[in-house]
Amino acid sequence: MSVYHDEVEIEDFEYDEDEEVYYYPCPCGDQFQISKAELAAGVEEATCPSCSLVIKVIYDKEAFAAKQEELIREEEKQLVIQKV
Amino acid sequence: MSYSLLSWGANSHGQLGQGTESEECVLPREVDLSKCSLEPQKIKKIVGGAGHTLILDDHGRVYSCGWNNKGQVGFPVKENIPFFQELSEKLRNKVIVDIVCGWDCSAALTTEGTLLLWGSNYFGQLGIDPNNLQWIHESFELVSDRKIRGISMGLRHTVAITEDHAILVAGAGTKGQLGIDCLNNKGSINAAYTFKEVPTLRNIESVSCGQYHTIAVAKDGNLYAFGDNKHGQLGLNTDICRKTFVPLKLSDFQIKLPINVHSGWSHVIVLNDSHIFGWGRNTYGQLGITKLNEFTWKATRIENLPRIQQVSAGSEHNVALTEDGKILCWGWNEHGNCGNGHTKDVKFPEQLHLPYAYTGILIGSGAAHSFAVIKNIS
Repeated sequence: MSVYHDEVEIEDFEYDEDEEVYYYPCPCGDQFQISKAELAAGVEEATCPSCSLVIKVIYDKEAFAAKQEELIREEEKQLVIQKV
Repeated sequence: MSYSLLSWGANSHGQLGQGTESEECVLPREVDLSKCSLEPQKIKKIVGGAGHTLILDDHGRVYSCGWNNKGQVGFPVKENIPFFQELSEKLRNKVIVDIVCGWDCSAALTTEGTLLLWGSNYFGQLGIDPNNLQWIHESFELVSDRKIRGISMGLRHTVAITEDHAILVAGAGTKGQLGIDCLNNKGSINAAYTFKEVPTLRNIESVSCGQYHTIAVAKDGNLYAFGDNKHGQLGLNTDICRKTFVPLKLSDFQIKLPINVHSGWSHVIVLNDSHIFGWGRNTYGQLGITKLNEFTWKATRIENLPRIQQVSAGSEHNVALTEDGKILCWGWNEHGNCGNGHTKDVKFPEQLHLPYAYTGILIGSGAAHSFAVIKNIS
């Protein structure tokens, strides 16, 4: 088990809608990152591409996964409506 | 007599001004200033953010380089700027007396007492609603009926000192770092999207902002702290206070003015009477005290140090200049932040090797990068 640099709540991340990635500043000057898909799959470690530090993401895994599924269902519904 | 500007540490966005981008530079290297008019002997201040750097010279001119994804370097391009370039024209040719960097934003104080701001405003740290402005490369002037005399920027918040020694705050306030509770009516975001005065603070001489905390020094030598205290960075007992939205006086720490306070992300370094004190997080050796554990909230002096004339704090490392021109570095060193040729953390201030017959004149730092002006004395 790694020693976390910090434990950070998901609300404190910046979300990039285009990339579907959550970012949080890393003290090296770069950014910790974790994708929406990773979060939905229950991953809780965000890594930095420039250094060895790792942070633990504090979020409600079940609620996050449920919300994603709901959004996907919603999108599918919209697609069906559009096709009709 | 010849002067040089050196830089070392993280360089992923060209923040070292060496014309290149690289993971890191573990030894000091001379900065190529041939692309601008900056003379190393005229440098007054060097500060950095996450991946960018600002330099102020004796003429009141500003130079910048590095990561410009949110306009923090001050130029209208998306690319990183790997060489220092003069920014004065973009600052409306004003004479600048002080500069500061937040994580990805910047500010300059003019000789007229006005404040220029640019870079990221994602959290309202420039004093504007982020729904209207996310970032800006072009500097704009803070509209205020009072002149500004001091400024500090944290990770996501900004603190300005007015001519009558009150303080104005803007940006994220989630952990109390604004000194006021700004929970809006919707109850969701704790932030100030315009500069607001902290009513409980008067006679403030200087301020220092960290990741999620602020330290204010009053004219009578008292220190006030507010924000996150997870690592003891407020200088307050962590068993009693985990964070505070109201400025609290540090009753255990009273020293004579002048006091120079510098905040890293979650540690504080104080220069007073040529000695260095620190408190907060020490996981990477940020406090320079080997016998300490992971953190301390009690002001602790680094013993057996030469007399210090200047100190600068990065996110998790520090650089200091001794009165006899030596340069010391300590703390996190993964990117060569301490300039000693390796990447192992430095738990006690270690002397930086300078070229033969050179002495240190001035130092500065960004998040994980460092600078020094040196002079040939032969």
